[in-house]
Amino acid sequence: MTLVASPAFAVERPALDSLHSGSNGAGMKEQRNEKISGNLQARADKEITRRLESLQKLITRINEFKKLSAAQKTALTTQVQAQITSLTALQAKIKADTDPATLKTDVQSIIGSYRIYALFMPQIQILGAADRLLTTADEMSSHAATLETKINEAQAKGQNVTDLQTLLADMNAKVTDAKTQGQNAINAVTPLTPDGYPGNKTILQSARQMVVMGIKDLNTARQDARKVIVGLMKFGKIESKPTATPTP
Amino acid sequence: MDNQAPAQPTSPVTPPAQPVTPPTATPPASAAPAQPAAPAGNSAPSGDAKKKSSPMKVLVMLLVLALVIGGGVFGYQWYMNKQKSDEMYQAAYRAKQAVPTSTPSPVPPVTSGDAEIDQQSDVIDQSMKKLDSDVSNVDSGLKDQSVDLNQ
Repeated sequence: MTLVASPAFAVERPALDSLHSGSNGAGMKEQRNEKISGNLQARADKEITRRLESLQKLITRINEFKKLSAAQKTALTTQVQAQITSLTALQAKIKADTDPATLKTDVQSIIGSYRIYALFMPQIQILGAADRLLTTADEMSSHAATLETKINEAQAKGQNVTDLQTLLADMNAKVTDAKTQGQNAINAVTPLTPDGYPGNKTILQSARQMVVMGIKDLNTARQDARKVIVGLMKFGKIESKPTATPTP
Repeated sequence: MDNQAPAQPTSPVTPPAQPVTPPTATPPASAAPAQPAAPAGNSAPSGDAKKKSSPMKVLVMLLVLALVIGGGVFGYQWYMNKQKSDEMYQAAYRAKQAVPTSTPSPVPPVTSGDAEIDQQSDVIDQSMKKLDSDVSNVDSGLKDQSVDLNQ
């Protein structure tokens, strides 16, 4: 049986068929195989393109990291870039495949490489979220320092600032906990490798939960900060202009 | 022999000299004729009566005992059910009371008028929005599935 998958050979098929037994059955079967191969190539191309786009976004995201060292960022970028190079080469090979068996093997290698993609995507996204968590926590620390100065000024003028000091202490505690959660998430996902698939998923889920807990801490800290500002406004120190956009 | 004292009447109908057992000590008149008190070892009618009354007494006592035990069990169950229903009612009441105070409303964003504070607040708000977006991306990354290329 002759299996011809490439469109390049498809043009010559009628002539070949007429040279053989002359039966139309074999020709129809080959046409069907060509169609199947073509569909497989199209689906594989689409899947690889989807992954390439996602990986490219990861590189952009890695370059935005502020808390990771340059060496860590370079290491991550190198890994992702290697995956992009590998997938690009595979995409070109699949497009050029003419042998159905080779095509099938190449397409299966996409699935085989999935564990790399399945790790990189959430791993780097968690690193990105944890990185932003730490950055935001630093911003809140600066904010807390500014508010503390204002509270001290009010206290020096004889105002009762006990409640505001309590709120500020809670704010600082939440910010500290958020930093711990963010750092723990980074420490959890950094050492993961594709070989750990699918067991990595439990660690990734756990790290995701740490980030969520850190965000909750920061939300509470932000609420504390707003209460402090409102309290300071009652002393007449600063003016109030409530904005129109409520937060959840 | 004529001047001898008259002989004591011997008729069994009127024996005045013999003691008569009191009526209270004898069984009912219909059961037996009046007889002198018999020795302790020969009292068959009195023993039968005792034998009849003893099972009755035991029966009554058992009945009373059963009533007391049954009442106790019923009372205990009623008490326990009441305790349980009271607890449920109190818990429901407490839960109903707790609803309004358990969810404090969040403080909306405020503009203080102080440039430094307001600028910091804006930066933090923007970062928090981006953080929410980051978590959404993490979730989509964890849920990502390979397309089935075998179909």
